Amino acid sequence: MIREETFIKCPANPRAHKTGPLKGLVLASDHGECKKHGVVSKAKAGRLADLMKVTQKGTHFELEHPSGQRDAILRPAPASAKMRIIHGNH
Amino acid sequence: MAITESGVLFPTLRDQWDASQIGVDLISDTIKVALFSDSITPNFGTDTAYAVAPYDANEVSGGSWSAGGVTLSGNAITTESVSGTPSWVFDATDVSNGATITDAMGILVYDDTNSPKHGICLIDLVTVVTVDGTLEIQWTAPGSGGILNQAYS
Repeated sequence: MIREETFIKCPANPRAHKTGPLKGLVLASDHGECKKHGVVSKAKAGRLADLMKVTQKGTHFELEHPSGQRDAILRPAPASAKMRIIHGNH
Repeated sequence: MAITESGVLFPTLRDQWDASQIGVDLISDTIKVALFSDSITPNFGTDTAYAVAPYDANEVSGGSWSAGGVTLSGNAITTESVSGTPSWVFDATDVSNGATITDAMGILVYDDTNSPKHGICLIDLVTVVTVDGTLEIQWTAPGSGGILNQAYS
């Protein structure tokens, strides 16, 4: 039996809170993957009272441990510059 | 006074091309990432370097994340199709470093080899807090734009 405390909640999926512990949750002790928001490092996986906070559609994760330790995983969008080349008439 | 978007520091880009020939080498130079709070006001048209305003104050550091930031490794430039547009892309290995960080809001990528330490780009974040923990920055894959990209359009 899979126990709820082996998962880290993924609050970016609001449905998870409404429909129960298994949907939209991150299996920390096994594959460490949230199907909705992507892979979460197993090294960052926590247990029981650990809390995974997810904001901005999965680009920013914070993991708070019972000890008070707090980790963060960031997935920032790249900086971009555009080069526009004007083609003349030939 | 806020970081509201990511962007490229255009004076650096300009001076790579003009007679200044500042020689920013994203592959061979020591390229660092430093954290700044939301108290800075970036101006991508005029900002030039780390340790030069506005990047001479409001840097965030703590724990194993020292002032000056962390050196990138595995630096690479490739040609990619980003969202269907031909682009050159700068990417590096993901950063993972111990940190006690309070309210970081932006990452400045800069050339630590040069003097002045030319700023390359600023990446906007949501507010970051860590406590005796690990700060991990997972850059997007090169095909999705890496750390920095320039597109032909």
